[in-house]
This record gives sequence, structure tokens and C-alpha cells, in this order.
Amino acid sequence: MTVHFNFDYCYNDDTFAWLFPAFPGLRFHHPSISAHVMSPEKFQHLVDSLDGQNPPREAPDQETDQQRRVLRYAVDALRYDALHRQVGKALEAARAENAARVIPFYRKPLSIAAAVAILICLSTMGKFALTSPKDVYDRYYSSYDIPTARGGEDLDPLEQAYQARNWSMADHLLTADAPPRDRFLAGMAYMEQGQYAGAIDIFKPLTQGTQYKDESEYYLAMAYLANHQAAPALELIDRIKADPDHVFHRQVMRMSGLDLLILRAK
Amino acid sequence: MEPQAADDVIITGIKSGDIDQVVRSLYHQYAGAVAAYVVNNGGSRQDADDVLQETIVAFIDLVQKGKFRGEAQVKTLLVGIGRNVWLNEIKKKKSLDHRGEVYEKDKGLEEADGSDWLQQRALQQRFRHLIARLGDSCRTILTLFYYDNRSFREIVSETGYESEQVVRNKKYKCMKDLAEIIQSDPEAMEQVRLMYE
Repeated sequence: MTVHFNFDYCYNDDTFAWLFPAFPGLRFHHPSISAHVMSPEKFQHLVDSLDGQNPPREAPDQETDQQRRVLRYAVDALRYDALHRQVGKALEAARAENAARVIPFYRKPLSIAAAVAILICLSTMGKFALTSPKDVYDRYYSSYDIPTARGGEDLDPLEQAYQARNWSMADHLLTADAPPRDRFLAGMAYMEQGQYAGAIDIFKPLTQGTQYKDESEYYLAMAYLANHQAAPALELIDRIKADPDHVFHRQVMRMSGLDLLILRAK
Repeated sequence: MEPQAADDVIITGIKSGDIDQVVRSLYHQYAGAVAAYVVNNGGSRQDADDVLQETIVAFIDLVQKGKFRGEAQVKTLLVGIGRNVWLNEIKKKKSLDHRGEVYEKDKGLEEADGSDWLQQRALQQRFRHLIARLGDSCRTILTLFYYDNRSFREIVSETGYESEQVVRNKKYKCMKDLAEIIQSDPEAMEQVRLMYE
């Protein structure tokens, strides 16, 4: 009986020799293994002839012929495997080169965002450098409008002079017993003429419990800003912001938080 | 070699041994087409990469053995090889739900190619299986000698062995080991019998 083995295992005829005494009829045969091992010299000669160093011997026997074919197969296997590995490495390099060239989908928006952030930063820095109390005054100041609920033709001479922008009347109004309204309008006349320090002196006492308290507080803040006095201006602005019933609450709330922040920081 | 090299430049590159540049050019021009077929037919990105590698190796091997006659464009041949490789893989991947559907759709193409290609692919896969069983030092020496065509002197300087004689002895022993690996593999020996007359 002959048993054929077909599994991956490097063996020779002696591997299963121990079985033979127990099974006298058993013989081991693998179609690929030669009956005897080729001599090292013969094997070396075959390799040398494969490498072109020796001419092949004439009339090779079956065993030699098979070994020659195995060696040719071996060389083809080596070359194919090496080519496969070389191509693998070259593909890795090509992919890396491609990845370096291709801009990820998120990189452009990130670049744009970064540019915008830099612009905002530069803009803020520029704004910080250029924003002064006078700038804020110029941005938010508007003249006081005398309430004309009564239609205008009922305005008294002082009010009419104010409406007509006749600021010279201010000097005549600053008397010891001038009522708060007259003194307030005098202060506004000073404001309109750019005499901010004079306007501050007039508005200050009017912020203490007079009927023109709210108006005086607001325009005093404006006068301080125009006069480059940020701290007292900001104190008044904060007070007006904290009072929703203040006549000038809405105007103050329209002021840019950034402008006020810059003034506080300076 | 430019990434968009023409067919004749690619063929010349293969024949002159400029494999790295050829691969780079083939990748830039045709990787997308091969990957698209694999991914659109149930493969993953990794499958596409594996198929592309095997496709390029098969193509280079064809050219090196003089089997590319230039009648078809490189693109046509590459995509065709890629499709065959993937179809063959699908047959093996029994877990794919739509394996049968894809296989049936492209059955005509595979049959037209005949068994030669399948036989060649089986041979190449067996090659890699056998060489993987060889030790690293043997693989290095034998690759340097038979693939890179280095002399014994060059192998000494590249590997650090003591002398040319030591390298010769090592090479002899490695060839013997490889022969034994092949002879112990029934499938390999069947291939030797059928394809190496």
C-alpha cells in the first residue's frame, strides 16, 4: 500500500520510517521528493549553470531535470516577489506625494477663516490705536433738540434763539439766578461752539437734583469725551446705562461696546 | 518621467528598469480608474490599493517578458487586469452579499480571458507564498543577486558579510532552502510540472 501525502511540511523518506515496522506493507511516497538527496556538488553545479557560470551537463537525468526546473521556478519566484515589494514601496511614495499635493477639503475654509481672523485682529488693533474719547464724541454727539410739543410758534425768545443757533445769547444767560433750563441751554451753546471745558462747568451742578438732570448728565458725558476725559465720561455713561428710565438711556445703549471697552483699556 | 507619461515612455521605462518612475506615472494616471471599479463593485479602499499593486506588478511582468505587443493602450490593459484581479478576489470572498451579482455581470469578460490568466495569477500568488517562508537574510541575498543583479563583491559591501566566499556559501545554502520549500509544496510542484518544461 502506498500513502500519498499532500501537506506543507518539509520531510524526507526517513520521517515516517518508524511506521514501517508496524505496517509492513506501508511505503511512503511523495511525488515531489526524489528517491535520494542530490549531492551538494551536483546541486551547486546546477545553480552555477542556472547563473550562466557553467554549461549544463549533457543528457541530464530525470532528477537533475526536475531540480533544474525547480531552480528556474525559484528564481522566477524571487524576481516576482522582489518586483511586488518594489512596486508596493513605489506606490506608497506616490500616494504620499499625492497627499502632499492635494489640499484637504477643509484647508481652504481654514485658510479663509485664518485670514478673516487676522483681518479682524488687525482691524481691532487699528481701532484700538485710533479710538480716542474725542472720536467717540464725534461719533455719537448730536445737538439737543428743544421739545416742540407745543408746535414751535410757542417757543420763548431764548428757545427761538437756540433753535436759530444764535450761540452768542449764552453769555447773557449765565447769571447767578438763571433757571436750570437757561443754564442748560447756555451749556449747549458752549458745546456747539467747542468750548467743552466751559460746558463741563455749566452741566456739572445741573446733574444734582434739577429738572434737567438727565439732559445734563448725558451732555456732561459728551463734554468730557470731547475734552479727552474718558474716565468721568465712562462713569456717567455707565450710570445712564444702568437706568432704563433715563431720558438718554436709548442713546447710550446705541454706543458701541467695543468703543467703550477701548476707552476703558486706555 | 512626468506623472502623465505617454504609453511608449512607460514601456521604455519598464524595459530599462526605471520601475519606481513607471509606478509613479501609472499611479497618477490610472489609480483612480482601477479604484473606482473595485469600490463600485463592493471593495474597500484597502482592496483598491491591493488590486492596484497587483495590477501594476502583473502589467510590468507582462512587459518584461515581452508579452505586451502594444496593440492595446496601457490604460485599457491596466483596467482590464484590475477588473480580472478584483473579479477573481470576489470569487474567493464568499462573504460578499452581492458576489454572485457582480460575478454574473462581468462573467463574459473573465471567460473571454480564458484560464491562462488565472493560471498565471495562481502562479504569482504561490510565488509570494513560498518566498514569505524564506528567512530574511536569504531573501535579501537572493534578491540582491537575482533581482538587483548585484555581484558578490557588491553584496558584501551592502550586507556586511565578511567576504565574497561567505556570500557564495550563504547564497548556495539559501537556494537549497528555497528549493526544499518549493519541493515540499504540492501546488508549487504541480506548477513546476505543468509550466516549467
